[in-house]
Parts: sequence; structure tokens; C-alpha cells
Amino acid sequence: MIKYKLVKINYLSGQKCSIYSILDYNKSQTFLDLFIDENINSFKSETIELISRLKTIGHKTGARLQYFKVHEGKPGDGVCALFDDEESNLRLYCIRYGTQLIIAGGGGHKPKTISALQEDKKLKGENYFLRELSALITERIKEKEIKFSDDDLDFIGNLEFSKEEL
Amino acid sequence: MKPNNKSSLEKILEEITPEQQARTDAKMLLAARIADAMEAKGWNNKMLMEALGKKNPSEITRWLSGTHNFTVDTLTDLSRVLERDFINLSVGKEQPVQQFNISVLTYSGTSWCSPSAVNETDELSTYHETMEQNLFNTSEK
Repeated sequence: MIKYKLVKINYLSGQKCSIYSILDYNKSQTFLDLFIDENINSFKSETIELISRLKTIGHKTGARLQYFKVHEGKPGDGVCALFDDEESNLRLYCIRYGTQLIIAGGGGHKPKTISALQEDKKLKGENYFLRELSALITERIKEKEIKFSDDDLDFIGNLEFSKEEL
Repeated sequence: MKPNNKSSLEKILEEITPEQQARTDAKMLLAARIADAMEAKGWNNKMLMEALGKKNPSEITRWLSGTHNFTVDTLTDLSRVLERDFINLSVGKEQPVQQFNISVLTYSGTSWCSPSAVNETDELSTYHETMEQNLFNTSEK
């Protein structure tokens, strides 16, 4: 049974980079929308800042590596976190495919009392979901079930994932 | 998405003012320019840190993240070591150069002719010399 689908977020995507998220069919919301709902009350300015940065990436700069905190996943899986404001500790996990395509997942607030994301159940759950999704996408790219468009701004192919796969 | 309702993303995008977005754009574009200047010089974060006499590499990472609100002092230092102007202090507006296309009707003695438009200085000088010669020859007759 299909549970998730990669969807392009047109409000944030531009000529420099496409921003995708994961639509959860059960909740009828994307992971990015869920992230906003979870954090908008406690971390409003930080959440707004992260969304504003995604819009800049889509329209002005592209997803340059320097904007992301890397090594947040397994080596080479592209899982990273968008840098937030200097005083903030709100993590938005993404999978980055070069400068032209990112998948925005979920995340949450990382308490200053922990050093590794694995110490926080919520962060670990969001991060490890993206690790599994990244591995699945890589597998589908190898099997030619998923391809990149000629301009590298879009995924083409089977973008739906079942509960059993993830 | 929630049917017939604005998504959480749509709502938050409505809250971002053009001024806020412009500030985010500026911070991220400036960070990109600094990274490009480093690349042009073949510098990594450590080399920039040393050139600036800094001791904390995470400070450079923060600068490049596009979240940092730079001071004039820092931008002046960066401009010096990276040999790029990150603060444009030029005074006044440059005047645009005007370009003219000149067409001249000439009388060769027997008929009027309309040469093609002339807009290059060298072509114009040659053209004037030729016309003066023609006029001189005409008056001689």
C-alpha cells in the first residue's frame, strides 16, 4: 500500500533549485508542513527563517553545500541539516542532490544538553527516516526507476513508496 | 495537502515580509560571494581563518552558512584578504554612455546619396575626410 510520495514544493522551488518534500498520505500533509506545525508555536522566528532560506535557495542561490550541516547521515547518502540561525538549534533534515535538488524532511529542536542527534528520540526518528529514504532512492536510481530531468531540477519516475519499503 | 485549506507552508510564507526575505537573500548571496572568492584564490576555511588571524574554524563555517549578520569591520577585513569588494562604497551614479547613430546626406555634384548609418569613430573620421574631399573637388569644378 502506497504511503509516501515525493512532491515538488512549487512555492519554494525556482530556477536555481527544486525543493521537494515527502507527502504522507495518512496525514494528508508533507513532512515540511508537519515540521512547521510542530515548531511554529515554540520556535516561530526560527521556523520562518528556515522557510525563508529554502525560498532563497530555490530562487537565488541553489543548494550550495556551505548552507548545510553535513555528515548528518551515513557517508554519501546526502542527509544533512539546513543551517539555522546562530542562536537557534532547530534542525530541518534534508537530502541534498547537488545544488539543484533537495528533499526537505522533518526535524525538531536539538536541546543544548545533547551532542548527538541519536540522544533525542524525535530527531533520531526524523533523521533515520531520511537515511532509509535516501537508500531507497539510490536503489531506484540504480534500477533506472527514478531519473533526473535533463536540467537536473526534477525527479522523474516512480516517486511513491509503500509502508513496507520504509 | 489539506483540501480547501491553506497549507502550513502557505500560511508561513504569507508571514514572511518582502523585507525579511530580502535580508535572507542578502545574507546567503553574500556568503556565496565569499565562498566564490575563496575558491578563486584556492583557499579553504583554514586558510581564510589564518589570513584573518582567527583561531576558531567554526566561525568561518558560520560565515559561509548564510546565517551570519556581518559587521562592516568583518566585511572590510574579508575584502582586504580576499581582494574582492564586499562593501560597495562608490559615490554617485555613473552616467550611461550615450550612443548616436549619424546619417549624412551628401551631394556628389550630380545626385544626393544617403550613406548607411555611421557610428564608429574611425569610420566617422574616414567618412568625413572622404566627404571633405568630395566637396573640395565639387567646388573646384
